[in-house]
Amino acid sequence: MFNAKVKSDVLKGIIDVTSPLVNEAKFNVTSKGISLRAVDPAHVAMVDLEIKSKAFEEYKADEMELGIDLDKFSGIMRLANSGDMISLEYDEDANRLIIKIGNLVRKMGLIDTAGMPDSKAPNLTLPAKIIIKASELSQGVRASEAVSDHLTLSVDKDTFELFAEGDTDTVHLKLPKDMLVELTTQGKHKSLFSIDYFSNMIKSVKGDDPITISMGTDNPIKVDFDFADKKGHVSYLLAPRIESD
Amino acid sequence: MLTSTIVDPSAADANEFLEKHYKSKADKQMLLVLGDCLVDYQGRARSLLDWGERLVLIKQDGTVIVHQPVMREPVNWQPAGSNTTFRVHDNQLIVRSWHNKPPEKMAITFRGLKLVATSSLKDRASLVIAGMEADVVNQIICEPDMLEEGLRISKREKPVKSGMIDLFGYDVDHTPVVIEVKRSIATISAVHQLRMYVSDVKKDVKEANVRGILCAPRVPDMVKNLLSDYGLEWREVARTVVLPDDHQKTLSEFLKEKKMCTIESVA
Repeated sequence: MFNAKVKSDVLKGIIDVTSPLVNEAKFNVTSKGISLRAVDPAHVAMVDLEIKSKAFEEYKADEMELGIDLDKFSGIMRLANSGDMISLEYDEDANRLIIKIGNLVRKMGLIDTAGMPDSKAPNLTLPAKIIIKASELSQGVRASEAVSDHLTLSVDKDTFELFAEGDTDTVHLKLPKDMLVELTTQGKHKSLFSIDYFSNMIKSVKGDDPITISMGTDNPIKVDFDFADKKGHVSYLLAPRIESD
Repeated sequence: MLTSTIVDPSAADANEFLEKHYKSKADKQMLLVLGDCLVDYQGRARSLLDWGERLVLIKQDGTVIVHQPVMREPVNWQPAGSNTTFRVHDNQLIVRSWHNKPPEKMAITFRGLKLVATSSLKDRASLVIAGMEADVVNQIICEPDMLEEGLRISKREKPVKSGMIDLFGYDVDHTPVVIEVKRSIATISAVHQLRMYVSDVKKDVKEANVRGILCAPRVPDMVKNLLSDYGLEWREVARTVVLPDDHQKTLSEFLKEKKMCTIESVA
């Protein structure tokens, strides 16, 4: 059983954070809230999302799984305006989600979760932690998009740097510790990442909202941030690129 | 191997073109028709798709696909082995496709044509996944939980009467489980293969309750239905297709060391 009422922005937030990576996801529903973990088809990026029941205006749920086609769900949520209250109800007989937007009733077929196995997250030790304002990071990433398809992130005890290099153009963002919310590291670290994947991960975080980056040389990068008024949390993992000489 | 097109054909020209190329059985031709059409389908249900500009594909095995200008999925189709005829009526091209098991038919009427095209395509490749069949088998041995929590693998390449099972083990309830791993899209014959293996194991272990799981990157609906009918299961695994490029690592490389996992002996 699943019955909830929530502001459209919360659902759009969930979609923004998952749909750039995957077309479908298994939503694990419990009485406490919803969580999901999805890996992109190339196995390069993983998203772990949790949203507490208190992000919802009304929430009543038993433990269950909902296989959601994110393309479809995203199309449906485009019908809603910001601030609209959305009602969600699981229709067990037809394995559908009944979505109500105002007077509109949209029944969406769900995907059979039997075919959606759980993904394992790698166990990583990431010795560097940087907390940075979303706008600072996204500016650096946006600048890099015009120059290359990958960027380098590096950190030492005093600074966090973003660097991208094309044939003729470069981008360099250097942030000393006092311009960051936080910087702690054991040693110097550096890794390369695909800008396409990285920018998709951070694009939904705006303004002064903090993004936590955990990294270690040639290790996947972990990107954490909150959404839905801190009632939801997202954790991304992105596998690194190998230095191309 | 002929490639040919007519832009803005008349119904009569298109009809002649399509008939000519559809009939050539040696080096079968793929046909494309783009135009303003109406689709009338009758099978277990009845549907009518009103006039609209679409792409119709008649594949080399008889499959017919109708695609609208947007969205991923075809709006209508006929499966491989279908028959198709072309004719002209009232200056409109009519493409009729049908097959018998179960009986279905589709009639596509074109009141305007933008393009007809044909070519003969050669494609022997199956869907390439990041990891050979052995790697997927190895992955399951290393992490049986990826298929199901509590699953234990006890034997790899277990010989049975009908052949060799990829993986054999037990689930959390100690029920024997037969696992067949396929590198490409699951087929009907894979279902029959699994069915025979499960039947052999039932006789070997003298257990009525033996589970069978078919693992493949993709399991089509028809195959899922057949598996269900036989009381068998499926998992879509290793759907990873092509990596962006050689320099991009995957998260799986950080999950386990690159070594063969050993199978613990099951008491």
